[in-house]
Amino acid sequence: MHTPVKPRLKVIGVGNEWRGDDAAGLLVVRRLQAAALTGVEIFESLGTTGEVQDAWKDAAGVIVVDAVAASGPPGAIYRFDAHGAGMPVKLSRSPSSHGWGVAEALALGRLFQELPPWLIIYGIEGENFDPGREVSPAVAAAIPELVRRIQREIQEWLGREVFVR
Amino acid sequence: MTNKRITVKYLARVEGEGALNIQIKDDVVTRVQLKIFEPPRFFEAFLKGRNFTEAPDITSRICGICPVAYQMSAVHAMEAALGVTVPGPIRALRRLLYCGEWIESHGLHIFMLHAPDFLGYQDAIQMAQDHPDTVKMGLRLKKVGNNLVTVLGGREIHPINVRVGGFYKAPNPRDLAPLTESLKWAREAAVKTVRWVGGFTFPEFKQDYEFVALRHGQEYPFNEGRVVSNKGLDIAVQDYEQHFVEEQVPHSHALNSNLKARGPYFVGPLARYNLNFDRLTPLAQEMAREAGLGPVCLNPFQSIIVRAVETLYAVEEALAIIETYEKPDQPAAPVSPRAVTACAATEAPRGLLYHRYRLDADGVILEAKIVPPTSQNQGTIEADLRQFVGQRLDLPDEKLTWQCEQMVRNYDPCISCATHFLKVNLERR
Repeated sequence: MHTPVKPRLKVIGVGNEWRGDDAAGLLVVRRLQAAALTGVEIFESLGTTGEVQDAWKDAAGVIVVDAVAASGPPGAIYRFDAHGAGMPVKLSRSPSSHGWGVAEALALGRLFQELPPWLIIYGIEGENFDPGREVSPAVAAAIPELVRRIQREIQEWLGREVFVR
Repeated sequence: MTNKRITVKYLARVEGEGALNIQIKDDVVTRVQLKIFEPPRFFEAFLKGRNFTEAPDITSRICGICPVAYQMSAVHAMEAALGVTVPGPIRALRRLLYCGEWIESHGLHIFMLHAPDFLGYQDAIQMAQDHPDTVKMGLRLKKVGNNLVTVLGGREIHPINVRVGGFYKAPNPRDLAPLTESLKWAREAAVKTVRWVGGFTFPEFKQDYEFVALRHGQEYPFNEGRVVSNKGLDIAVQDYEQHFVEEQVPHSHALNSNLKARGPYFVGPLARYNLNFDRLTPLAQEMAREAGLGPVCLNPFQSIIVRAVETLYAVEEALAIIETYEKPDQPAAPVSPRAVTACAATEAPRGLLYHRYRLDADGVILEAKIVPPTSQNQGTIEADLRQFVGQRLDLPDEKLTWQCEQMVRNYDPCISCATHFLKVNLERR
């Protein structure tokens, strides 16, 4: 009997769809879902530390997409390699001070050496995170480009993996 | 002679937005203000015109840490109004759901929010560098609670399975069985947690508090009981508003609740423990004693031990409930509306949570009143700080500010609930 092989690549969209631009991560992965990529599992998350840790456990490669507030122009796209240089020194902590988010999951994952072997974080700059707001036009306009970049990244990763095997 | 101003512009490691201003003039603490600037949330207003069946799901949105508490106070108030008594298994499931919430909420506060204060770390991430196994244990313990809420409530945050009369779907005993293993691990972890926090150093501080909590005939209180205090209060929940009053204070978006006869009072784990020690399990009592607590504890800094003891209790209670659980014939008792006013109080992780609703004949909510734990503790937090700072004027500002924040976190304040809090400003003149 074969145990089903877990998808080795996971894309985790993080956000709250009722908080304006915070929904961006969810909207991105919904588009990826619609593209029905093989060998890739799509996951939507509210971004609590435990949920993110659970989601990326056992995956060989992970891409996290989340809205960020980095004082850049709305819609700006950022890419960080969690194992590489160039990660922001201080990731902003989750907006709810009582809840732990992606930044904490990253910090703890590093500390406990529990990060997936390949982990890319895509950020998209938001401008309005108020309850009940729509995604702002600049962010909405940047979503297709971010989806394209992630698709390209997925193809490259899958290609590398095949080559390695 | 010292004049000082302690300013913590933004209090970290609490839920919601608030600040603390303390002013000291000529060695006298002249002003202590817990400023809650989290915007008002108007929940009581937008419950008006909604159906009585919607109250548990609407009020659960007040808090992402203690949504179960809001659901429980809401359903009990509605059931009191409509004369519904739920069958035993539903009652047991509600206690089980509450166990899950206490475990996740206390786990979060002990390990992530409060322990760093005692060990001198800025936050739990920094603490994890020196105490990785303890932080891992804390996260796993919290998750055991979250899993309980997920299994019974349909999801981890803002569960969706609670309704007036019971649940939408009652689990089968076999759905609950897999939780037993993780709860047995959690029992060991909770024992270790009591030992760990029991070894902390606690600032010397005691006050003549009036503790207020529910007290039930046989059980450590979650959903039911009389409202009692260590100063002679012993009333039915229906008489709550005859004895307690909410007042507006200019510096805070949260109403301040007081006992009409005696002023500020104290709700939460420490109050529950002091009024219900005899209702704890033998193991929880034994561990409390081992950690240096008697049946009454008057040092609010030791509330972290009490939270650990309550976590242990909740784990043991959850195990006991699962062991004897039988699926009810119906997941909910039938309810039909009528024009009536009724109230209920349950024990949220942070303390007594009171709801009152007035309904019309069709079950439409005409009026709602919600008194969360943090607004009940606000006066006591300010009184504590006044005393505490007065005794420690010789401390350097940085240390005094640190201890003031630590003091505020003794109460695990939930500002989002109460506005419905934290920057500290210490001013010496």
